Amino acid sequence: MDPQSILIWSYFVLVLPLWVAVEVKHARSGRRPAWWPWLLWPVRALALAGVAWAAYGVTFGAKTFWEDVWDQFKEHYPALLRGYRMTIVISVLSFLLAMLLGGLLAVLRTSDYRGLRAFSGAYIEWFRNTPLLVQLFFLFFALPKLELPVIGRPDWFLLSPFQAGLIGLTMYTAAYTSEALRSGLLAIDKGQTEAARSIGLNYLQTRFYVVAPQAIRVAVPLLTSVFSALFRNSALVSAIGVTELLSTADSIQQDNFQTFELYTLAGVLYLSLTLPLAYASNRLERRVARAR
Amino acid sequence: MGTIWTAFLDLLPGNWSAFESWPIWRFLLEGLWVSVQIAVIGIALAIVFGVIMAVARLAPVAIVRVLATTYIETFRATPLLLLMFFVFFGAGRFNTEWTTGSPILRCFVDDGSGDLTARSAAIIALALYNSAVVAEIIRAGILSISKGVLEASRCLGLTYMQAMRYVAIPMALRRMSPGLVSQLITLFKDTSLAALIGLEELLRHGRLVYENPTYSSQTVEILTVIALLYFIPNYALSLLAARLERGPDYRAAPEAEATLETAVGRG
Repeated sequence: MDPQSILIWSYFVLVLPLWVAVEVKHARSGRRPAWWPWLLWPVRALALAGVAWAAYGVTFGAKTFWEDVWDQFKEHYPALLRGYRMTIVISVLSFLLAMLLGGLLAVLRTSDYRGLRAFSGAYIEWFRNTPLLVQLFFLFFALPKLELPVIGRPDWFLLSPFQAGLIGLTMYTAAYTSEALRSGLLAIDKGQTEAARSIGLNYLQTRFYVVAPQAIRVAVPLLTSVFSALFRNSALVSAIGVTELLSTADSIQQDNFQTFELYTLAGVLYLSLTLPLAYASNRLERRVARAR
Repeated sequence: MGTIWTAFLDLLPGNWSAFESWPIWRFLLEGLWVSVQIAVIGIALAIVFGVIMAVARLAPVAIVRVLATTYIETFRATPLLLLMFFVFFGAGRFNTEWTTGSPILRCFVDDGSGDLTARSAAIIALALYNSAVVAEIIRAGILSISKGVLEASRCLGLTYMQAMRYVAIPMALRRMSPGLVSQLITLFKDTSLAALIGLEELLRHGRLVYENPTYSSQTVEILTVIALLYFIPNYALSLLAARLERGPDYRAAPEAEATLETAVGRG
């Protein structure tokens, strides 16, 4: 065993457990002996030195790696940014459509007619409990072969990859947006509706001017996290041949074998979309919680 | 039996002849079994690492907290498919020969080439992504127990460990259970992504069936059956999650009260 690995092993086996034990003892209340600070600070210093060394290694030892990543970006940025744009376009479009479809489903789910409620419930359960990839495969590979009783096998069942991806993402996400919107609708007190009706608003006015604004406000944090999940799910449309971010990175990687660099690049670009959304979702959640 | 089944399939619209014979079913069910295996191993690993990460994120030491937060936020925000590609295609650059010497690690690599197998790549990616999500669920569960509850149980004379064991942990577990079950649903659905790195699981086996020229006219039917095979366990789990979310059945309360009265003695 070389000295370096002995050092690393003893760090994990000795220093880290000692540090944890010391911190736990320190965090507990009660009297501590006078020599305690003399033990506390050297242990902390030793442990933090290990952390600092690891951080130094990661930043400077990995410097060539990040330089390679940057080189790959400089070389391939037109294709990568085109893929990035496709990811954004398909996600934003299908989110807008999913909001419409999900709003409709949420209204049906809370309606007074049992048939409409059952239809909406069946849609939501089916699309939430089957994998998105199976749905995309169905739209892309199976739909052109589907023979319906009256209309037969129309030409427009043969979808392009983009159309299939857009429809698949929309139908899948609509199940989630409708649940978010429904939880918003259910959070609004019945007294609000009754009060609005008693001051003379009709049913639709009540829904649009009184219930909907409050319901959307409750649903916004949930919708943000659904949107972030949609960005991540949009990677799946690469499986049916849409040239978005992941498949662009993948096809470049198959040419030049810079696997780690290109996937890291794709990961960083995905994180640039999803991390701000996660942050916004947290903030909004706290704000709604405070407002109620 | 077989004739009844065939007669039933004939009643359905479409061509279901692929499902008249047992071998096709067996082939699909073998795929389902692989999916279930990696889902179970994945959720077990995700809960183990999730607990560690949740506790680390609540730790009093700042550096531990920062590291755990970075891990959680990064893996939660990365597409799972990217993680799978990363682990499966990226691992080829590492020298994995040394793993064959270790009895546990050798399960992860192929015996012949010493490369990471598709199955272990899928499990590692699922565990990485889901441990981050599970950590957030567990953290929310721990934070939802108010300090007053613990103080009250200490006042009643329980020790710290007793208060944790009999009061805090049961409450936290009950609050996390719907979230954990719905995460298990997501994880089971996500096992289908492993088909794209070549793991022989349900979706991949289904594709192999409908890409066979004999059955190529039955793509719709085969994909419907695959979707149903995913749907049935997931729907059962989602009913379970809804049941857990509703909490205990309070209609049984009078009876419970009576037992309590008999146990404690009236007045």
